[in-house]
Amino acid sequence: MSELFSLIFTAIIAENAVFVSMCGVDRLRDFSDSPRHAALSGAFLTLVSSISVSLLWVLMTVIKADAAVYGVLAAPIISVAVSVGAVALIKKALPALYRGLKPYLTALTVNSAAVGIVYAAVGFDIGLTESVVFAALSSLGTMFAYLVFAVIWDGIPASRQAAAIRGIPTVLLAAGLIAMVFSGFSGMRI
Amino acid sequence: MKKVLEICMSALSRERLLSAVMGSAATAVLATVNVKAALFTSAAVLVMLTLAAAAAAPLYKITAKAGVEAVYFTLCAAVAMCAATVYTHFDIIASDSIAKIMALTAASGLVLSRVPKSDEHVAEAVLDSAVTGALFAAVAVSVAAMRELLAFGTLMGHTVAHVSLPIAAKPAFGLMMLGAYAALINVICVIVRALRMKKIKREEEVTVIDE
Repeated sequence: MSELFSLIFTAIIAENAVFVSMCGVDRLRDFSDSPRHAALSGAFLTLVSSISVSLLWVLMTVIKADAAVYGVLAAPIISVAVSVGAVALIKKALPALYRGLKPYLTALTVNSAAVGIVYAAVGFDIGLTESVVFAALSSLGTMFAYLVFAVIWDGIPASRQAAAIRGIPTVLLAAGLIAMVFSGFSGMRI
Repeated sequence: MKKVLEICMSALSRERLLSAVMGSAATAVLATVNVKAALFTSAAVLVMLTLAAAAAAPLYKITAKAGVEAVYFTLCAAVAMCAATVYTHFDIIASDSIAKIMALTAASGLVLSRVPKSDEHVAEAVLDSAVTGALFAAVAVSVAAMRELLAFGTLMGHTVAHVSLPIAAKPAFGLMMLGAYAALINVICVIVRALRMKKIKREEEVTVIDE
C-alpha cells in the first residue's frame, strides 16, 4: 500500500510531468483558461498516453528496437495518431464532449506532454503494466498541473496584470515560480 | 526581395514572437543549460522546420490537409530521431536528455505553429520556417549564455567569471528567463507602436499645417 502511495506521490508531485520534467509546459496557456478545460484536457491526455504507451511498448518489444533511440520517432507519431483516433471516437460517441474540446483539438492532438510521458514510460525499460500505470499517473500529474495553473490563472484577471507582463510573460513567470516550488528551491543560495 | 522582407517582418510581429517563445518553452528550457547544447538543438530545430515544410508544402496538390500534416509531423519526428542519434553517438552534447528534448520538440507548439498552409507557396513556407527556426535559435542561445554564465561562470566551456548560482541551471530558472524575454518583447513592441503613432501624428500635423 505504501509503495502505491509512493508511486502516486512520485508521478504526480515529485516528478510532475509539467513542472519538473517540463513536458507540455508549452501548452499551459492553451489548457488552463478554466478548471473545466484543464480537467477535460487532463482526462483526454490520460486516455491517449495510456493507449499510446501500450502500443509503443508492444511495438518496441515485437521489433526488439531500442526504445531510447526509436522512441524519439515513434512516440510523437503514435501519440498523434492515437489522439486523432480518440477525437474521432469522441466526436461520434460523445458529441457534447467533442463540442467542449473543439477549441483545443489541435493543441490536444499534437501535445508535447503526451509525447514526453509516452517516451519516458517506454524508456524506463519496465513491464507493460508498469509502463501504462506510470503513464496514467504522470498524465494525472499533468492534469493536476493544468488545474493548479487554471485556478491561479482564474485569480489573475488580465486587467490586473502590468502591461509589460500581460499574457504569455505572466504564464512563463508563474510557471517558473511553481516549478521552483516543485523542485523545493534546490540550488538556491541566500 | 520584397516578399522575403515581408515574411521576415511578419515573423517579427509581437504575436509571432510571443507564440515562438511560448511554443518552444519546453525545448528551450531543457536545451539551454549551456550554449553548446542550445546551438546544436537550434540547428536541429532549424533543419527540422525547413525540411518538413519543404517536403510537406507541395503535397497540397495531391492530398488533403490531414495528409500534409501527417507527412509534416512524421518528418519532424524523423529529423528529431536523426539529430538525437547523431548527437548521442558523437557525444556532441553532454546531455542524457537530448533524445527526450528532441521528442518533445517534434510535438511542440513551435513545430505546430509552422504547419504549411494550403495557400502558401513552397518557398514562402520554407523561408518562414527558416525565420522561425532562427528566432528560436536567437532566444535559445541568449538564454543559454545567461544561464551558463550565472550557473557556472563559463561561456562555451571557458571560464569568464567566478560566479556560481546553481539555481540558474534548473529548468524553473529557464522558464522565468523566457518569461523575462517575453516581457521584453512586449515592452519593445509597445515602444515601437508608440513611436509609430507619434510619427503618424506628426505627419498628419505637418499635412494640416501645409494645407
